[in-house]
Amino acid sequence: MVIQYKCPGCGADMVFNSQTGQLHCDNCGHSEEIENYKTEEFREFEEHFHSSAFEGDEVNQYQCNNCGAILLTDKDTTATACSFCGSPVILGDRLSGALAPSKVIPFTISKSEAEAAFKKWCHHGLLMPKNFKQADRIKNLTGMYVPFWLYDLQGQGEAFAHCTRIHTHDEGDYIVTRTSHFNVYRKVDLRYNNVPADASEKMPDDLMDKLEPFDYQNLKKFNTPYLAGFISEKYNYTDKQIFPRVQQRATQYIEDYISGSIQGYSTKNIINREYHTKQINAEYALLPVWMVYYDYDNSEYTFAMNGQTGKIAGKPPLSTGKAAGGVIGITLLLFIICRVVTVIMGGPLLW
Amino acid sequence: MVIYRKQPGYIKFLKYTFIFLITLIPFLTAYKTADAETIIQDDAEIISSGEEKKLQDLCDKILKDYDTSVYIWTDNDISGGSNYGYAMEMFVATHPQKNVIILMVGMHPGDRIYEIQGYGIAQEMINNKRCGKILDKMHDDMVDGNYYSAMQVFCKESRTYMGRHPRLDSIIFSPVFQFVICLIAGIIPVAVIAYNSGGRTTTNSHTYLDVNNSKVIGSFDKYTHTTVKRTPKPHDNSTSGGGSSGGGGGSHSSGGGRSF
Repeated sequence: MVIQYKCPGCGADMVFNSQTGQLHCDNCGHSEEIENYKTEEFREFEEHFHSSAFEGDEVNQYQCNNCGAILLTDKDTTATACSFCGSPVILGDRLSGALAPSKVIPFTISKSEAEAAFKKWCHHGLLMPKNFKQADRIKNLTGMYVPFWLYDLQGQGEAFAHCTRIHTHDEGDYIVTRTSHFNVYRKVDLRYNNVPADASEKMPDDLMDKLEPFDYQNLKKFNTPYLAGFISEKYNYTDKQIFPRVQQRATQYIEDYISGSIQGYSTKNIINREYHTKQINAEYALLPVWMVYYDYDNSEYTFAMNGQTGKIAGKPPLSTGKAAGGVIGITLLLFIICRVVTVIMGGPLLW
Repeated sequence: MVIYRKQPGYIKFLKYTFIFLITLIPFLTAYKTADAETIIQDDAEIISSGEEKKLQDLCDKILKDYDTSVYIWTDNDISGGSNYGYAMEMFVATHPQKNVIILMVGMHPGDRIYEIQGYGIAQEMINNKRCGKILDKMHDDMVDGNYYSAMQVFCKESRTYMGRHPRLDSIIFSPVFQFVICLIAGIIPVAVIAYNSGGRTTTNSHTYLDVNNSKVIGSFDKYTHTTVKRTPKPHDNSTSGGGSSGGGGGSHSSGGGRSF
């Protein structure tokens, strides 16, 4: 089932506008509130979901309602553009039933803003090669809704720690160190909401983790018009499959919370710990990411930008010359300062 | 009949002024003799008179710049087995100067010794460690019989050290040490920038915490015991006098002597 939003005024394709948060017709300027689009449509798609062959790994065929061309899509694609007429298309059957996202954070950064933000980021890259900093070789800038699971977690933890309070004072010719030892115990019951984990196999986990945090104030109930004009994918992993990754993260959170609750000591050493993380809930959400593909020195570099906050992740090339220059510059500056201080204190400039 | 006449006031004034000046004479004389000077007493005759003159000039510079006398004393009778430290103290004690660096060369056949001591300001500026360093620098020349060269080294090193407080001997003022630290301090920020160039993780344990539904539900902090450790206070080496202080010579620094 292919969904395309047509302008009621002129019949042209409408796309989601990140500035207004509405569907917008670039042709006549007409805008539509997304809330006006009822979600009941999804129920119809559920039938398609069961009858269609999307669950297989093969590439499926969909037809563009605009030009009639066959849409060649990846098995994970849920929203894309017709490669012939450029019309934004949403594959409704891949967004229904078990694959229906419950939440979405719409893009708030437009393509031009994303490009400007990326150029600015490159410009401020201290160790990037000069040619790279010009940011004039952006091959592709794609707005993509990446599938995430947002977990509500309960963290329970118990820990025993050995802590000390150390006091020192002078007694004649001696320095006396008094160390008071304590056995410390903490039991915590914690709740974490909307801990994200990307569920797409194409997206590197560390890259997606670095895009956090997303602002959940703008977390909305999912509706297909948000995808119009962007690329979107369905999840590859269920919430159960990637729970271990989230669990690992939650375990560290529990440890940090317990450690933070042990205050007023000179040293603390957790010697025994037991942490449990339970999944209360997991919601399937689509989060906005601008993917930047950049050609430099015969290689393609991929960057991801948080489509809501503009935060950028991705490893840029480093200029060894600049790195060496930085090291030498700082070293010499500090060395000169050290020698000046030495001279002021009566020492020689050099030995 | 004896008639006592009252002395006029000006006579009285002159009389007391005279008495006052008379009492000052010993102090003035003492001041005169205490006037710092360089002493080169080559009893063992190991340097020529020309060399002695050149050394005198070098020593006079130290005297002029740092108000410290330099004594160079050679003797045929002093040996490594004798109480040469005490002999040096006595040598210094026979001269009234307060700030003194003394180099003694004992040329007793078969048991030759040379040693440096510092008194007054020189005790602080040329401390035990520095005395040892100068002795070590002189050693090759002493062994080779280049006594004049060795004494030149003594004078030059003494002059350098007199102009540089011993705290500057600390490794933190060493250019090599400083350079290494500066290099590390240069590498760290660049490495951090390089490491973070791909973006940083900015979430932490509080980012997703539901504060209203999270709490510590059990805790105790039980005191068990106290341990006490006593450590002696570190002492500043630069002020500790070496050698003996017998014969009323007071404290001084020394290098411990070297045979050659």
